[in-house]
Amino acid sequence: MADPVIQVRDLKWRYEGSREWVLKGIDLDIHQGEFVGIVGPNDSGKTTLAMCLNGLIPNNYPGVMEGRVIVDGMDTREHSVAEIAESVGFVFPDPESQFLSMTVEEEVVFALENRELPKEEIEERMRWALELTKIPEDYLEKPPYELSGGEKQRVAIASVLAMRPKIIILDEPTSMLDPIGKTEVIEVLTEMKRRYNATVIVIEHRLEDIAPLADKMVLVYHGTVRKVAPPREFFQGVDFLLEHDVFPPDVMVLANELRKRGLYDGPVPMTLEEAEQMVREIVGGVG
Amino acid sequence: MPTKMRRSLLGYLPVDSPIFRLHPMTRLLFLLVVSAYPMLVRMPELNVAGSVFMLALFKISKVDLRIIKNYKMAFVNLFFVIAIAYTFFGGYQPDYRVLLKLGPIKVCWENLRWALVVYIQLIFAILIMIFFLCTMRERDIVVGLRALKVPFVLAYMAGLALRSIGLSIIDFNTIREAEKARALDLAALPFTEKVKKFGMYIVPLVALAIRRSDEVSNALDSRGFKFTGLRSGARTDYILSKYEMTKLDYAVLAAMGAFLAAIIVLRLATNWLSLESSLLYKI
Repeated sequence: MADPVIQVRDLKWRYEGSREWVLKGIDLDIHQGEFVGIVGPNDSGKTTLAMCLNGLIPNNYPGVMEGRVIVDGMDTREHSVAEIAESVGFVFPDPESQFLSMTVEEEVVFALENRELPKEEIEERMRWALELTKIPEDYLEKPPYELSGGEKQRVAIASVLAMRPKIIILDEPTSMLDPIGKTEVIEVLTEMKRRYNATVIVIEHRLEDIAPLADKMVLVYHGTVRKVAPPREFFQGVDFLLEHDVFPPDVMVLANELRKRGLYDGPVPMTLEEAEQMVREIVGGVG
Repeated sequence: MPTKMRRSLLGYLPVDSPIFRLHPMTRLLFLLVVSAYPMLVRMPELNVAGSVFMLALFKISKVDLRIIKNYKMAFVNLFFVIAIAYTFFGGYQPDYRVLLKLGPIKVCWENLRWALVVYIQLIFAILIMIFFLCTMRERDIVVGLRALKVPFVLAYMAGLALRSIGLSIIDFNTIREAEKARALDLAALPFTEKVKKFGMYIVPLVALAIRRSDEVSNALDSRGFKFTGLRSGARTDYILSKYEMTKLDYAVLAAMGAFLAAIIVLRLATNWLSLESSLLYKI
């Protein structure tokens, strides 16, 4: 297997003024093209880990760091965030907090102008990113902060996609959105997975949406990585996840309960179709 | 079919407004150049004519004139402030005509006349500013500044500052609503209590502003922005390339420049623009 595009080795981090380590020795490898879902309860260190992966930590936050983070060959301690941004795009949870410009068009091309790309290439990349995120052409001159929550986050994703980074990190991209906005963003993630072969790391609470997309799931708990596995294997241990304050979709919990009672011995269903199959098996092929 | 609108700094403007045929740099220079006119001209008749010209521009540009109505109380208050200032602090000369005596204070025609002259100047200037805010977006200001070769960092900071005003207003309203929901409504309190409790608004507002600046700084870094001082470097100016100066722009700029030059010459070489040339002076 090729070298990982992200290597995290015994990473420890604590913020200045705090005695407690937020990250307590994380080891993690992520390979090019993988779609990785990072889950864990609140305050487990997920966002801190994400900020370590694009260099915001340790470059922009004071604190104590031990261990190493190598991203696309760059040690995050030796490269600035702007340099790391050549390879890593970062989408923040609050769409409004990441807007830097006054219109959607300016927002999407901002990073491309910084990179000194030719105007023709900027135009081509902008159109591609807008098409992938389903942002209509007539939104170009609109202020991004006047759009709906889902549209705002799609603009934020388009701004990052236009950079065509090797790695895209999305930190709880649906956490501040209404149900429609959440669905819109998940659709964009699905489209990204289908059409854009980047490494995508998503920190997300909506496990039912991320599980079918992910190649690998990572459970972060109290600053440590407790489990790394492909989704099917990851969700087989439903009790383990519940013990670590991660709540799988109800259908997985149901399958787990049925297995414990000896009513079902198949795999935990990951999709609606698999859930339907499980029900058919249990009721003995009715219908 | 409803008219498509474009948001400006002060409301909305139809996208087919003729003002959008002008390059943002021309519109930015309009503010800088035309704002000098009322400052250089004392003669009230000319400033009234300037105000009428501005109202015509509002109409031609399809700006909703109701916006001006929002400022009617400000116009009234401004007159009283100026009138009081000139009445009390305008000085007194033996040849002044005293209209009224209020104890030791003499209300003189000459001071009131100056108040009127200054007020009319300010009305013209305010109309220019309202027109500018009604027809410009943050983007236009940034593009205008970039077209004027202002370093990107300064142009961008100007845009960011404008945006932060809007965000602070949103934050302030959010805090106010939250305070109201917890039974603190400053509007219902006497003035002294309002002042005392204002900290309840200011502290969270400052905290939010600091947090927002931190977030913007992270977002800038994450998009590969490198601070290179006032040198713009080779940063691609894609947005600017979307705009082109046309013959109309050059004609407007030439007219504004010629008018300004004429005003400066007349101001320096003659007294045609002074109060002494006004009908008001002959009263």
